[in-house]
Amino acid sequence: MIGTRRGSISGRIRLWLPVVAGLLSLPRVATPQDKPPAPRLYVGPARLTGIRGTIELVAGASPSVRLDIALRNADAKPETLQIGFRGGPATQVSLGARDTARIALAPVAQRSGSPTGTQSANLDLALEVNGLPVAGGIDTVDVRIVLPLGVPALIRSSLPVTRETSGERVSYRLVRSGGHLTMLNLVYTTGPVTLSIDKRVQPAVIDRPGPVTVTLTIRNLGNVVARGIRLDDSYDPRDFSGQGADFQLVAGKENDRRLVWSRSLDALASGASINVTYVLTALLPVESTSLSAVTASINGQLVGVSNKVWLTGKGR
Amino acid sequence: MQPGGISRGTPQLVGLLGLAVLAGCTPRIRANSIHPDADRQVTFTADRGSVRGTITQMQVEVGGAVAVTTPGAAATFTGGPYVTYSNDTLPFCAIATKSSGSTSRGCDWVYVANPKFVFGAPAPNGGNSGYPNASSEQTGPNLYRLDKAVVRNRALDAIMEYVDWFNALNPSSADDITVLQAANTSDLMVAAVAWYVDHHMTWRSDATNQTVFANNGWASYNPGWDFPQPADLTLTISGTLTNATPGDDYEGDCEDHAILRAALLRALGFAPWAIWDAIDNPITHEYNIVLYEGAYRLMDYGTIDRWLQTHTWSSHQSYYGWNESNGPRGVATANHNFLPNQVDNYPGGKTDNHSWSYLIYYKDTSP
Repeated sequence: MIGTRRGSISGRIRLWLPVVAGLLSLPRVATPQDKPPAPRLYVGPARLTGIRGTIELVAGASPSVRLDIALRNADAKPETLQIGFRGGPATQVSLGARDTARIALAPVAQRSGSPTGTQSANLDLALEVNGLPVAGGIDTVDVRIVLPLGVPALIRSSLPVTRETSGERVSYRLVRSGGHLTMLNLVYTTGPVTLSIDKRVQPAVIDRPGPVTVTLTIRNLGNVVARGIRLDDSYDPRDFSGQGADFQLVAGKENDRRLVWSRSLDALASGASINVTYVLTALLPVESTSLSAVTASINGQLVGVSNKVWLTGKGR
Repeated sequence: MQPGGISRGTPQLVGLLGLAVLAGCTPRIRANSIHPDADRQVTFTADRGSVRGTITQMQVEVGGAVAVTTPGAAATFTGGPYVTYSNDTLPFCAIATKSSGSTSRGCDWVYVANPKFVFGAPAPNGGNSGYPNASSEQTGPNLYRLDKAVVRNRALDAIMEYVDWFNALNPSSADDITVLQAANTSDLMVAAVAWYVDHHMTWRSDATNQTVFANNGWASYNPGWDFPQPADLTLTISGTLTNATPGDDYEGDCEDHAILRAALLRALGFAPWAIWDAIDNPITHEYNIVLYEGAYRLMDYGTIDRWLQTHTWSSHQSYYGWNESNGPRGVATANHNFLPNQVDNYPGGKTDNHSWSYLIYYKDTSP
């Protein structure tokens, strides 16, 4: 039983336990060799040494994916295992002692959203061996993400990716070294406007109350003038206050509140960029938390999402 | 509470035994934690206490077995983790041997908390395919939905992503943590879930959440008070692009964040008694109370460290509470009783002699 209050019967029994145990000389012996129950993770002997391949996003359809998985048997005896992406079919692989293998696998991928507008592709990139998630990191991950023809940029990715500029179609790379892969959510639009938004705050470390300047650098990556852009941002009103017509305090259904910032931009020419700034007041040190991403929408369609801003703290 | 030790129990135990002969001549022993986790080591320090005369040998006994024997009047022993004492009392003693050959013992105990490896859960029984169909059905099983694979999968994602993030932050690989370690260490599980929800979820009003649900096949979802989102639907519906403009993977307001955190921790095997939802008084906010670093602590927006040391928000005056075993969610008077009765620092063990109040969740009150 947990959380027993002082003076309760069980609490008094507990108080007596060591005494009784000592008198009877029948306590259990704890040793440093005590181990927790077996984990529900795959720990070896096979090791994932690499994932390479391509995720090709398609307008109005699920992405086309081909990934090559490299693995190595670290053991001195042969190993047969089932490997697959989480939620997908598994493939049997037989590895000789200290042998390596390379197999092609496709993750479970889903697409949602408007076929002719903003849409997302969800790919579960977590690998399982013998039905268990793999505990060890993957030595090298290098996956190319190719956008549909004419799409100038991703609106958002749930995992960090870097943009590549070469080629007819815009692409990104998902690169890892020794890390893990999880669910990947990619948002893009086949509509005429995609906005890139970079959100920064100054000071970058908010370790005392005072003014905080937010700067949004917005660039129209589309091939037409973006008209009627609505920008939305929000903060916790226990952390920040804001003055002016752009700010509004909204409440949840029964509890919670939010300081919402909104602004409209009449037009942004193709290829043009603009800086939008506004000032908040930090009410106290705001650390070890993320500030929300700014969203940009046109007629209710998402066309841009900024980065979230991580406000550093103790590091976990 | 005495900083740095837990020795006050010794005279209490001796008094209970009525062994007056020991009074005034017992060695003293302390543990370095008032409430060690089952995955942490514990350091025991013994000294002469009130024993007079020459002490030739000091022993530290843990769990009924002598762990170390040291010449002289002091001894230190670091041992554990004491997994076999999970959620039970671990006794320990100092045994002083005098030059005459006689011995005297001074004993104490700590409660070893282990909130891990509780993978079973009651089945959901809400009137809408297991989901709550009324305020009275806003229970843990109906809102956490541990029966759904997506909840279990995202919980493991939380561990993996947190480990990668943590290791990337730390310049020395000697400080690296592994997924295996994080999945088997209570504090790391808590830290991972807090980090994951902060990095993947953003606030959105109940009104918009309800509209998004209605526009994506869940018009029938009518849970009653305050529109709490079940964790699996937060993970699958809240980030949809259909008739919505989400800026993050998951969206919801405070109770939706709290429900998701609790569900992910429960999916990792964190015990129901160790993770709660709390609502403050007056009602402005909902968040979690979770066993972390040896006591119940606040878990809210941001990482777990944000809420340990100081009392910064007026919206953390914890009053109403509920969890998988106690509820339903709501602000009935009975929901206040759950917190002082069952979320008292330190669970199962010694208290800090404070009357219960929401302040006990801060480290400056309960170190």
